[in-house]
Amino acid sequence: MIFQLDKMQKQIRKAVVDFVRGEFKKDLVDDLVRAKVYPEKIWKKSSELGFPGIAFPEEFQGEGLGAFEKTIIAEELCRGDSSVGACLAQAGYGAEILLEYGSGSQKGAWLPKIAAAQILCTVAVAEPGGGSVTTTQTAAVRDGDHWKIDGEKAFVRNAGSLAGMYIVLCRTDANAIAPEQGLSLILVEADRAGIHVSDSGARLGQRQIPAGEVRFDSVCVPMENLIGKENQGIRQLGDFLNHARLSTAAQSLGIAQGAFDRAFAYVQQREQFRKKIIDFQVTRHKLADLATEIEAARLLTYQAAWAVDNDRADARLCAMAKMHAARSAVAVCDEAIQLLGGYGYMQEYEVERFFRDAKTADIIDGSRNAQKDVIIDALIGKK
Amino acid sequence: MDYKISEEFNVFRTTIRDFVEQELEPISLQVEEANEIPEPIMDRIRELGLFGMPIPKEYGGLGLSTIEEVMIYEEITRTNACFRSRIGTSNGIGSMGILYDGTDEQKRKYLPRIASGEWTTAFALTEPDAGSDAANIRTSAVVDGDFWILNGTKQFITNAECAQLFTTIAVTDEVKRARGGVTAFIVEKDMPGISVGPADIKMGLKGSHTHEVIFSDCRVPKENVIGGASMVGKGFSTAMRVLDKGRLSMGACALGGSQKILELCIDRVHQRMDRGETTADLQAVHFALADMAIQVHAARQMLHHAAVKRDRGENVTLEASMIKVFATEMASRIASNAMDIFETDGLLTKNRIEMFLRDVRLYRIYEGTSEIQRLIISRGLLDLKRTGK
Repeated sequence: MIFQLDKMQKQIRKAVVDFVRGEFKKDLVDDLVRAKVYPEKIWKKSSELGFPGIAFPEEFQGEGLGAFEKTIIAEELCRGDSSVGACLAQAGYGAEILLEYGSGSQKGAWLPKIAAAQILCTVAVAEPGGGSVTTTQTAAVRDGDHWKIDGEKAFVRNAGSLAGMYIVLCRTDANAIAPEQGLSLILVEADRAGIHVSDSGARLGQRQIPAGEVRFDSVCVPMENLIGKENQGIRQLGDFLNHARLSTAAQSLGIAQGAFDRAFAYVQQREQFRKKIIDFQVTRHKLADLATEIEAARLLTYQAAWAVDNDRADARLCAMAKMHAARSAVAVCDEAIQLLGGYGYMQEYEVERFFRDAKTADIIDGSRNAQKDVIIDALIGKK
Repeated sequence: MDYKISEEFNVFRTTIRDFVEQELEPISLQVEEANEIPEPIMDRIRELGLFGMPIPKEYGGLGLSTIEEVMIYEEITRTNACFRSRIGTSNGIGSMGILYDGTDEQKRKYLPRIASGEWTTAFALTEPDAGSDAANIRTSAVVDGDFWILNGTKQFITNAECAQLFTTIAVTDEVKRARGGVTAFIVEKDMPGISVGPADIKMGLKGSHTHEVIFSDCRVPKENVIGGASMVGKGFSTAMRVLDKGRLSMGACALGGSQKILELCIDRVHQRMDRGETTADLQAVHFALADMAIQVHAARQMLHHAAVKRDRGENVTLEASMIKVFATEMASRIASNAMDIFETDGLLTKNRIEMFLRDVRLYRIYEGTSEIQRLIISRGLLDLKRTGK
């Protein structure tokens, strides 16, 4: 075991740190946050350094690296700013589905665009009214040489004018014996007729990531838009979720570290009772606890990333990393607010936003109970 | 422990519960979005007498006891926290100094207007360098003939823009400071030399505003020292006393919000079970509800016990600190657990939970952080004052 980044990984981390220092200017970020605007310029600049396509093969304009490098990038971007970082880290949400199961032409059509920060990628799974994937109602019916898709998806991140396409979970076999067996993933280009996106509305955090309810009204796409084999949707989604969990873990790690950095700096300069806040034993011990939380979350996340790059993606590790890193980030950010006192509650001092973004990360891609189910199923040996 | 609630108060409490459910809750999102409480609603709050809850009837208030007042706060906080912030700051820390330590003249002059809600009040203690370390305040008050001249900057002052009256804490003796050199003043908004900065942009508590308040050669008549000339230099204890009482109210607010969140979670679980999910599927969530209910029940007993004790004339300084810490930390935990139960729906503002999460967060910070409460409690336990350590 080598508990150290290799030379190339260190260079990548440094490149992201330099990028954050150069591009995440506080005034600019404050303006973007206040206006709830997607950080397009920063996103496009990040593609000049190869960040969005870091783990894509070079033949698709990627850097040919892996999940570990993707993890480091997401961590440092979110450390720089939790909200702008989340936008950039999730710009390619769903790309691994194409990487693993897409045809050559699907990969060729979309991966370069994602790498070049021309389009956002989306995955449309959840439906209004809740329920699990087994109750999926969005249907894709064969209509001549096309699929005709009807249905509605809820809270689709990246949906809207910046999305290039929607990877949609559809029921393709209404007669499947078990409801989770008749589902497929189908690629729907964003400019197809019949797609209606409405904003999901105000929310807790990660407010600059567009999110909407997406209705598909008899949307027609060619048969070859099916991703991989028919009726393999649940399995494909399961594999993708490992990557999604890992990415959320990486973002959470960065959010935690970023909040810690800010609180750590603050308590070293703020004075009350004729002492620096950091000179109080309770403050010192709090910081020690927080640093320990982050270190443990980091190791677990890095181990999950290594597993993805070296064996097959390990659902147990990815779920553990997601659950633990997000939980730690929420705890660290919550304490960071407390360490800043009244200032911690003010938007200007950032830590309250880091907290909101951390709690959002805790909920999306499966909240804690969902992660626990994945972990215990893996331990028991269920498939 | 035995306490009876009068039928009359019960009717009042029901009236307030209905008011919250029928008139405040329906405009919850609007208030959040606009960051403003509509004036017609403020008028309804005045009509109901809520601004005068702790003010004696002889001054136009409702003269509620402590237990009665905390029960009303449990009701008002079943919606956005801004309503209680506006009301509770005004009839709490913003004005209780006048009730506790004011002259009869001051009480007669100011309390009726405060009780009716015609005047809103604010509490001007906190400064950029004086948060938890309240004794570190720099705002000075210097005598000039029949006036005191105030100079300094106060920060994070709730109600500053809509207030007509500021209970202002300033240093009158630079050497003695908190030990006999701090004075509490009644400063009226239209006295020359006061300016209020723009509203702070906060994590939550939308609809309630905090501002910087700058005193620049602000001229305050000598008769506006709370308690008159004999109270010059004794204002720090006035300030601490109003904060002390405020802690029970804060506990009630945290409890009210927590109770409401618990009810929303119960509804949510019922919906999921109606949709076909079984007790077995939801066992973890069922246990989470149980844990919420246990804490809420404990907090309620702590709060009511302390309130009743205070009404009997006993000192509840330690209990008030304990309930403030316990209930406010509980509220944050319960709101966070509720987010887990609601999953992605919980992220959406329209579903209320994330609003509660953001609103209750400030409870652990203002009116004495949890850390300050722990200092007070530990010092009390160890009897440090007595041994002089």
